[in-house]
Amino acid sequence: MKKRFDIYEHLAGGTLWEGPDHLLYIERTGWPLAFTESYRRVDYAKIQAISYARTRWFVVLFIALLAVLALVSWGLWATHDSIPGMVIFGALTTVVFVMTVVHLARGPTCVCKIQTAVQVLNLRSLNRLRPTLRCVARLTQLCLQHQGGQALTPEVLAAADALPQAASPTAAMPSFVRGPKPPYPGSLLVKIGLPLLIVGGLMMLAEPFIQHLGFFFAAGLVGGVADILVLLALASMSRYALPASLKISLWGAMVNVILSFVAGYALLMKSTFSTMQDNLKSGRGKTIDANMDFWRWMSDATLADMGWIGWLWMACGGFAILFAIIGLPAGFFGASAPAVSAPPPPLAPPPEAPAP
Amino acid sequence: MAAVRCIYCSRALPSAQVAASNGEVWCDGCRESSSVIALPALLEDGKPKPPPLIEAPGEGDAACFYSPGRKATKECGHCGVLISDVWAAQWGSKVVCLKCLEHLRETTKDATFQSKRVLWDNITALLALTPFTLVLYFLAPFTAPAAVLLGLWHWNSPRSLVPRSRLRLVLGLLLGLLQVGGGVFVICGLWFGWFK
Repeated sequence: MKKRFDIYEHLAGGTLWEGPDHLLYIERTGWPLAFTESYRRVDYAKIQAISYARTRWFVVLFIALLAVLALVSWGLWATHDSIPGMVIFGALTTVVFVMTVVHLARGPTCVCKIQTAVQVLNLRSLNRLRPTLRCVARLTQLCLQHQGGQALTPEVLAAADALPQAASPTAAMPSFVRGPKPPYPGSLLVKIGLPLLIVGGLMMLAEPFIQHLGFFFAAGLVGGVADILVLLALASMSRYALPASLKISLWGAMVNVILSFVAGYALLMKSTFSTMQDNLKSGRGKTIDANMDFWRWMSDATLADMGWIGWLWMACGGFAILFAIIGLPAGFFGASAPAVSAPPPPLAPPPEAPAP
Repeated sequence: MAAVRCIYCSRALPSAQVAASNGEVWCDGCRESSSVIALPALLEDGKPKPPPLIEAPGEGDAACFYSPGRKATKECGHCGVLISDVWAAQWGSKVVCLKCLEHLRETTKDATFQSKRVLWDNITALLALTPFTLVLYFLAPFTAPAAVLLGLWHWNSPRSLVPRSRLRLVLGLLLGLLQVGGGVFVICGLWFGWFK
């Protein structure tokens, strides 16, 4: 990676560049490769404060990676007798293992922001503590050079706090720029999605025991609609302070949707291989002659046919019901009642006191 | 003096607390702690300034090039004309007139002044790679020609502000051409019966 270009020198992460009198921060949008770049330039002379804090993402991400590693390792163990399974799960296990090691090596996560009179800029590329400390030290040095002074001492700050606050744009901002979230107001998406999730979960549980193509498609349809509703509910409710049980329910259901997707995809693969093997045995060649064979295998497959995928499928169904039940009471009855305002005063003047 | 903001909830933190805790502050709003480095600019009066009054040039004063009714107070660091405060933009340590600022940003695409760029090399590479994903292979008839056309059209367009080679553009172009060629070969083969 380039260490300097034009008037800039590299500071951190490929997005922070040190200019002669300003900091250049490159914001990228788009995934997996950036489509656009926006350039934010902040004068060193105008930076009022640099804040950083360690976050809990390091632990959360580590646990998540360990969980995924356990899942793919189990897949590797379960498919140790088939070469394609071993190749696929072996590659997945290696990738997740390397990701876990890299995550550990990069160290604790953090957040870093710089404050000027008109904005608080989140430096997203400074998300690991070690490079952040290095970068903050350099940035502080540059700011002090351009502001012609020392970092504010406790005495200066304490003295300044006693003075009346200047009417700067940030000082004029209300105490809460981003206040606490409003309470959960109730949601139709939650009220339809959670009961449907229970129905979908029950159908998933019953599917290996009911060998009927129509039931298989109905289960897929109900489960799919329930999953979409729950995801929409989670997205639309993110701006409210949800009751803890509803939050657990919706986030758990989201993780369950991902697991169900994995189970469904694995089932599709298994059906493809099994149908192909049946065709080879019956001498019809190495192709799936009719799509119906493929779908019929999936609808007629029992737990024994599905193997470990069947157990994953059943677990997903069970968890769908569990998470829906956890969230149902709060989803239906946890909505905060709208504030009752006092009745407006009567428009007519009060009756005059009767004359004595 | 301006207030230091909490890194999580943007609540104003009392300076006395920042001073007493020597930079390690605890926010009562979100109940999280963070480290703060307060800089001298925090003490400056950030009061918004009123727009400059119209001050006519006096005897021997220079007039603004763009508004002759105003007294010139600055000189554009790019074109050199004398300008009044309303026509001046402070850009780091430089002062430029608004005409030059627009010209540098929009026409010259000067790296020091530009605020946004579209990364056509990345878009070309992504379009060419889309059919190689497991689920979007059927988009190849649209994405491959689009990658070729975009790659050729934006061959000389500026890429990222941080200089880099045309590798992504070339890769996208080659992959796109390969897919278009493959598609043409298959269609011709089916049409002329080469595969029988």
